[in-house]
Amino acid sequence: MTPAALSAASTGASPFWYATRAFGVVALVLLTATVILGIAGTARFATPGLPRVVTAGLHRNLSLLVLALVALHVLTTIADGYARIGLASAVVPFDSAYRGLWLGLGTVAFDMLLAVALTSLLRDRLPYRTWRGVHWLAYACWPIALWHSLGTGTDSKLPWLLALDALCVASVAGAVGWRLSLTAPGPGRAAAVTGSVLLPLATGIFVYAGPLQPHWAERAGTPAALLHTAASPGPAGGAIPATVPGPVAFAGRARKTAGPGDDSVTVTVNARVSGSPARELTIVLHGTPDGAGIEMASGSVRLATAGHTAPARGPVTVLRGHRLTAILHSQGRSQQEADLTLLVTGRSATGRLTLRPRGGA
Amino acid sequence: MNQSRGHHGAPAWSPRRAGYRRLTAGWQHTGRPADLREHHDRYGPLPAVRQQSPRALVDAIAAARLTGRGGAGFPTATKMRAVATRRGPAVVVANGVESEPASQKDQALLAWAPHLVLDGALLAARAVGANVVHVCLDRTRDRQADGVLRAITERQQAGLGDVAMLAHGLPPRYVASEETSLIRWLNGGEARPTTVPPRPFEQGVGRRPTLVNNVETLAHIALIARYGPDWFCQAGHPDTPGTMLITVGGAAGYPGVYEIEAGTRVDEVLAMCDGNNEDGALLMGGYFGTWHAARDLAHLPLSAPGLRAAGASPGAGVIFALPPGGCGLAETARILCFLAGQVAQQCGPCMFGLPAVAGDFTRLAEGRPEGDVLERLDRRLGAITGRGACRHPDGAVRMAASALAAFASDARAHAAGRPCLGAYRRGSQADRPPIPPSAAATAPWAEDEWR
Amino acid sequence: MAVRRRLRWDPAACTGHGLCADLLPERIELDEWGYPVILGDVPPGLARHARRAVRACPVLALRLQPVQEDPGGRARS
Repeated sequence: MTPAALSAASTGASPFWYATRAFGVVALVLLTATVILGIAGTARFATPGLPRVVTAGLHRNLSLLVLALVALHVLTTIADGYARIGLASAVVPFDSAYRGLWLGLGTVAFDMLLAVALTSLLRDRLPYRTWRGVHWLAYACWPIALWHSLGTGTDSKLPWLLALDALCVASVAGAVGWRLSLTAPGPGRAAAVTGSVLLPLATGIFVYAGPLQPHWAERAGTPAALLHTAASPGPAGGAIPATVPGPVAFAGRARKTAGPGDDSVTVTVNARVSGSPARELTIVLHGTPDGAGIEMASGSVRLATAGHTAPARGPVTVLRGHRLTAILHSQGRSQQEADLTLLVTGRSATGRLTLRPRGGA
Repeated sequence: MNQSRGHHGAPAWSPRRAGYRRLTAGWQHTGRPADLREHHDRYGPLPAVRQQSPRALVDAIAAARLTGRGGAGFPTATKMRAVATRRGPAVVVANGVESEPASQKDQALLAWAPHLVLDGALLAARAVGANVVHVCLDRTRDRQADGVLRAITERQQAGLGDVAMLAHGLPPRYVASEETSLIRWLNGGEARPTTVPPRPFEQGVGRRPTLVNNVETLAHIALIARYGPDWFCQAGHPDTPGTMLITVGGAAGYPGVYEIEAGTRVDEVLAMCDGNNEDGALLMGGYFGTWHAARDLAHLPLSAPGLRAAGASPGAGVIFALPPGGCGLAETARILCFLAGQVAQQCGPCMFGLPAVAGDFTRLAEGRPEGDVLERLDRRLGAITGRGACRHPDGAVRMAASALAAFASDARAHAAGRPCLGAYRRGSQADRPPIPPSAAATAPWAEDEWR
Repeated sequence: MAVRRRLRWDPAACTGHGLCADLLPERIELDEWGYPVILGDVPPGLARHARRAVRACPVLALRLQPVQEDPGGRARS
């Protein structure tokens, strides 16, 4: 296995999960463009090649596109059963169990976007001041959407996405700064300048202290069911842990030793699985060095639960990239299939484990 | 009552012998403001409600053909009926703001005879079914405010009428005395005009039908109620009955406020104040009026229909006389700079157009024109008229255009860099003719000055 | 009976953005300060463009009103 690029666990990810992240990112980028075009409109920006009607029309059409993309983003999230986000969470903020706060921010942003779009579509029937007041929500909607993306997004740590986010923040900050430079000095302008300096700063600090640090998923509020084993007692006296509905995280240390045999390497991983009861996971993999990495060929997995005498153990049957599958037996009990993703960076090892009963006794 | 002695032992005023001294009777007699007692001694008590129904009063005003004295000259009875026929309690606004710098008559009237005005307001309130009167004044005139408040208090103590009377001080801006400005301010907004709907008689102060009347109009109502429309028509001319207050300023021996019979010939009026000059020019109607050669107006009656033939209007009865040695373009330039500084800042053509025109006019007056200033002025004046929310730009443009017409030869001279006729006549005289003090260019006021 | 339409603009609301003149140059020009000058009524052929211009105004200062011409040729609006 080669030292993999950073990637959060995505065991059993359906296409919907990828789709929703894609729609989300594209929507954010287009929302950024919409906001910048809106700011250009208030600044009466126009060039011979880009008259007012074009910036205004583009602003309007892009915003509708964003609305459509966000709707798809919401629908694909609901369709993907992984995080069990329901339809209600789409419009009721902070309703979801999955990363409640960060998802809720997305809901808030979506609600704001809906309000802005609806009032704009009904502009000629509403009093001008009402439309204008609601439209100001756009200045709140964009940063909230950004923070939602950073907090909820499973890709927040990817460098290219961080770069994209930074570009978005820089462009909006630049546009706001340029717009404020055209405003007369006063308390309003001072407040706006303060806000537009603090916001990117706060975002940067948040990103550093949040998604970029390990265990963000837990801290963000990924539900226990997705992270931990539901510690319910198994069949009478059973040593085998109850089947978990989803992946469980583990973390520990990895050790590389030479042998057995010439020109082969053994990687031993000792990790603790999160949750209770405490479990120890040991993975032993054999392979041959291959350029920068190690081509693993075989291995075994051992899972010991505190309080039970007999650990479950078994050989690795499938080894593909950083994914392993192993069949675990425990004395006299039925077999279990363990799906693992493993990441080894230097001396530390992290990953996810999903246990499933294997058909038959 | 007619023969009794008045407040200070002098003969009481009698409506029969009043002639044209009606509103100014008190001042003429005592030279002081009239308190409530003196007011009742002179004019008698207010007619009681049972003596005169609201409908009867409006009919009397219609018979007297009273027109508004605030400048627009709208038939007062028509206005009152428009408000009276609306449902719900109405509001009466007494417009005493008088933001026209060349006009002093309302200030004079409020100083001498506040009770005439307040009587008229009370009667108007009865006539239209209003339960409150808002007396609007310029907030920088402290003594005036004191006087009016004193008069209101006197009436409250005497138990006069059941209509609440409130005095208000508005910002001293030229557009503030416009009807819609008053209403917007009374509703808690700024003293800026609004684009017309809804009209005041439909929805004004507090969304109630509102009657806005100049204080002089109300004073006339107070007298019509007492002495009847026939008496009212005994003075003045058949086309324009009654008396009116005028302000004469400029090159007059005795400038000030006069009460005249409506329709008096202009040269007779000027003779009263020693302001006649055949070769001079007159600004008729105030800052929104028009310039004319004095001889063009001399034989015309001072009234709206009378002056219409010459394309003029008395407006709020303001006459400014330019002496032969004066330069009409210079006066116009000063007035335009003032008006440009008084813009409500709501509408582009006025906000940018008036200062541009004022600047051009100033340079023309100083004999330092840039480019084809006359052509530019012509174009811009046409581009500003009718493109604002109120009549502010229109009035200014009309005045400026009339100056260019009345002083056409001077304009050509100035445009060519030559001195005008006035300069020749002035010769070596150092003293300039007097101009109304606020005609000097003023810096734009801060935003909060509108409230 | 042809229904012509009249363009009206609110001078107090207008702030001179100028999108109306972009979209209906046949009937709207801008004066030297950027404020609209209405050049005439809108014939049925330009009605669609006129409606676009009305919608495009950022402050909703432009309105389109029908002007009915009765057979006598006098306009009523």
